[in-house]
Amino acid sequence: MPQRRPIHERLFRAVVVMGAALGASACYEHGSTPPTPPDARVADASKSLVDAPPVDVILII
Amino acid sequence: MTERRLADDPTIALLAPADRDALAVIWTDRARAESAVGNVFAQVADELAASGAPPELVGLARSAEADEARHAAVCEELALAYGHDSAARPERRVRLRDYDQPTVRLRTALHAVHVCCISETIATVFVEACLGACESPMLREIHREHLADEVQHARVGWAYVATLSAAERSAIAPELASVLELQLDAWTARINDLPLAGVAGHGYPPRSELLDAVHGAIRELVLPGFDHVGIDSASARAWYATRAGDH
Repeated sequence: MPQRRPIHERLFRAVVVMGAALGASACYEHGSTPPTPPDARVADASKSLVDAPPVDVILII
Repeated sequence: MTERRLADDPTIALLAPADRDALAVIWTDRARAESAVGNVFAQVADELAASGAPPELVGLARSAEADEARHAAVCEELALAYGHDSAARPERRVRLRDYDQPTVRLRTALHAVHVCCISETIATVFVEACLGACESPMLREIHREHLADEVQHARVGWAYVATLSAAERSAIAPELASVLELQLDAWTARINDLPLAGVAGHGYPPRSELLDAVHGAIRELVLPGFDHVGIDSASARAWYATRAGDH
């Protein structure tokens, strides 16, 4: 759909390019990758929401 | 306030009862979906913190959790405006299942890829298509706000994968196709539940247009996005070529 191309390009810049730049900038400011040591308080994040049923897929809409 | 202003909108009263009922059900379902996504953003935020992600990214994920609760409330108000007979807040407490990955950073990365790089990124194009099908100023305003939030939520994932090491990016690449398949199947099933011809003026274009939006998002944003952040998309592209059809 050629008429959608400008919308796709605009969203690609807003979402992907800006998002990746945000991550790169945050890393640069913290000076390393990973920029901070894991937070011991939540180090086992796999237990986050452990009482909630797991799902294979999550849909936004 | 949204409910009152929308209820005053004469275009709602002019809807055929079947369309009005369909929209009430759609927005009720969306409220449940938004509530569940809020849960998953809480999970992702915890995982980002545990993986040593920059605090800015953890903060964005926490904001997304709050945004999704707000979206759920707006969806409920819309359901009421279209005639749904219950104001009960839908509760859907879920977590995204763990992937079989050896480190918390890789598990976090795959969850961020799933929720943000794929689902939220597709959602930006989907909501943009819905925005184009809105007639009332209030409905347009709601969709514009929703679109702006989806852009922020999608950025969380792209930002996080940009912080991964080269080895971590290589480890993620073979998993892309399976996550993309889960997402494409879920979006397709959801869209196939929507009115075939859409509901003109009320934020729902025809199904064919929404399916094109999803495929356009995968083709023009998601797959090139992985290349942009240095994650090899070749296997995901090869899989997608088998499913793209005429889109």
